[in-house]
Amino acid sequence: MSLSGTPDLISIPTLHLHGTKDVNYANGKKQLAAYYDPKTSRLIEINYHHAMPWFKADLMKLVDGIESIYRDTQEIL
Amino acid sequence: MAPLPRIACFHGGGSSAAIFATQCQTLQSQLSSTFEFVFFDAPYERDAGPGVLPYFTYEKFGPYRTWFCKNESGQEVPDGRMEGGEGNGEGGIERVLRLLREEGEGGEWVGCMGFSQGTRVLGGLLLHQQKRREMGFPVGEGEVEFRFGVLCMGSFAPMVSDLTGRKSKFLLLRWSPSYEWGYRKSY
Repeated sequence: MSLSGTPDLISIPTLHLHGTKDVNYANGKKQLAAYYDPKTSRLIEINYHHAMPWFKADLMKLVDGIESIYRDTQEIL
Repeated sequence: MAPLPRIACFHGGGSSAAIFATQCQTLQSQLSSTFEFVFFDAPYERDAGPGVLPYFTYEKFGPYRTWFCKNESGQEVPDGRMEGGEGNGEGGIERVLRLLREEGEGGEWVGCMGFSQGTRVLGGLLLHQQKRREMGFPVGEGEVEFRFGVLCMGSFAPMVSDLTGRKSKFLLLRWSPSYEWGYRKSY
C-alpha cells in the first residue's frame, strides 16, 4: 500500500497475454489496470479462450513477446 | 556451455507443474536455445481446473493443485498460508522463494511466467521483490531478482507476502493506539 491507501503498481517489466474469447477477458483488463504500471507493462491479445496459445501464429506472438521483453531488460537491474 | 537463463513457471488453479509443462511444450521448444523453463507445483489439492479434463486424467496427472487455500468461513486466504495445516504455516510467496533457492545452481532466474491463477503468484513475487528493493534490503544469498514477468490469461490480485502484507498492516497500525512501534519498525 502507498500512503494514499491504493496498492502499489508493479513496475518490474511485464508482458500480458489476453485472449479475447477468455471468460476472464474483462477481469484480465482489471488485473492489468489495478496492479501493473502502464509504463512498464505490455500487452498481446490473441483470439483465443482461457488456455495457453495453441495456434502457431498466436504462439509466435508470445514467443516474440518473451524474446523482446528479455532483450529489453538485459541491462535493467 | 553456460547454463541457460531460467524462467520460473506457475500453473493455473486445478492444474499442476506437469500439466502446465505439457501445455507449454511448443513454447519451450521454440525458446529451447534461449531459456530453461522450470515448473513449480502449488501446495494444496483441489478439483480439476478449466481445460485440464478430459486429457489430463487424474490417474496420469493428478493430484490437481491450487496456490490458495480457504479459511474456516470459506474465504480465500490472501497470502496462501494454511495456519496449523499443510506447509507448517509457511506463506505462499515465502514457500516459492524457498523452492527457487532449493533449485540450486544453474542459469540466472531472469523471468517468471504464470497462467491464470499462477499470475497471482507471479504478481506476488514481483511485488515482494519491488518492496524489498524499496525498503533497501540487500539481495540475500541465493535470492532471485527477476527481470520480467509473463502473465498469461491472468486475473485478480497478486498473492500477498510477509513483506507486502505486513507493510499494509504497518500503515493501518500507524493510527492505532496499541501500535507496537519498536517491533514493527524492524521491517
